[in-house]
Amino acid sequence: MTREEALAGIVEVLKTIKMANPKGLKNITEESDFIADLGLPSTELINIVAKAEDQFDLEFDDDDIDDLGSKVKDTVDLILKTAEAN
Amino acid sequence: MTEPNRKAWLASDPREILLHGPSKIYLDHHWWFYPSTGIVGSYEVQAKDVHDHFGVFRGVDMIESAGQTGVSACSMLFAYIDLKSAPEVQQRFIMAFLGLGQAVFHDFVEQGETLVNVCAIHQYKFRQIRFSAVVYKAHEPAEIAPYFAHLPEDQLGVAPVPESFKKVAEFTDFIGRAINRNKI
Repeated sequence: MTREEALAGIVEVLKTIKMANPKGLKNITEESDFIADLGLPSTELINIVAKAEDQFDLEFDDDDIDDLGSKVKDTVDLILKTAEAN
Repeated sequence: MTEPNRKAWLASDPREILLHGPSKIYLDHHWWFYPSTGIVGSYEVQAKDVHDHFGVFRGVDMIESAGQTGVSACSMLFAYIDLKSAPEVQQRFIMAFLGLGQAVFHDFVEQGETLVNVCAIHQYKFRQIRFSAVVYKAHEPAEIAPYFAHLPEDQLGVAPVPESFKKVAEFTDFIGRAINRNKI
């Protein structure tokens, strides 16, 4: 899986998150921040990564989520790391 | 979670599970629990809880009681399922109450009355739990145990509650999480 594919999958996930700021959804990059740029509460990050698990058919480790930052690139890294390990 | 483990946990004392000090625990018993469905706990309001507050239990403490039922007890339980060791869980995690949607109060609760927190779990993922709660006061506390002992998993919030239960509050979108102490 490439970073571009991971990012595209995250964008698809974000389209299903009702609380995401529509303006923020238009220009998502790896540097976008779920909280600052998309207006999401920090508790919603769990929902995003849970949906990303389904999107990519992966299973993230609880401890990895403890370390997860709020930028899109952090979730991209997590997806690639988990996919590589599988 | 095996059935024997579920029953053993239900029989456990919340004071041994919660990290709060004794004066801040608002949960006496667990009555019902299915990890993917919900959890039920109760608390009898004490004199200390209504002191300097018109003889009634504060709404914020009612939220805390429901929160302890759902957030603390459930987060602890789920972590316990993973780690198989309550002391290790208490060493590694702090149970944090992160958010609440709407709180609606229908009635008040006085000293000596028993609250029943019926928490419906909507999501548990990565040690974060999201649930809603309906709080009753049980005019006949002796009815609590038999009612929940025979309540099937698919009937929480569906089957009618005993007539002696009076709804006092409803809380939506509770969110809590077991946070690793090393990450704070």
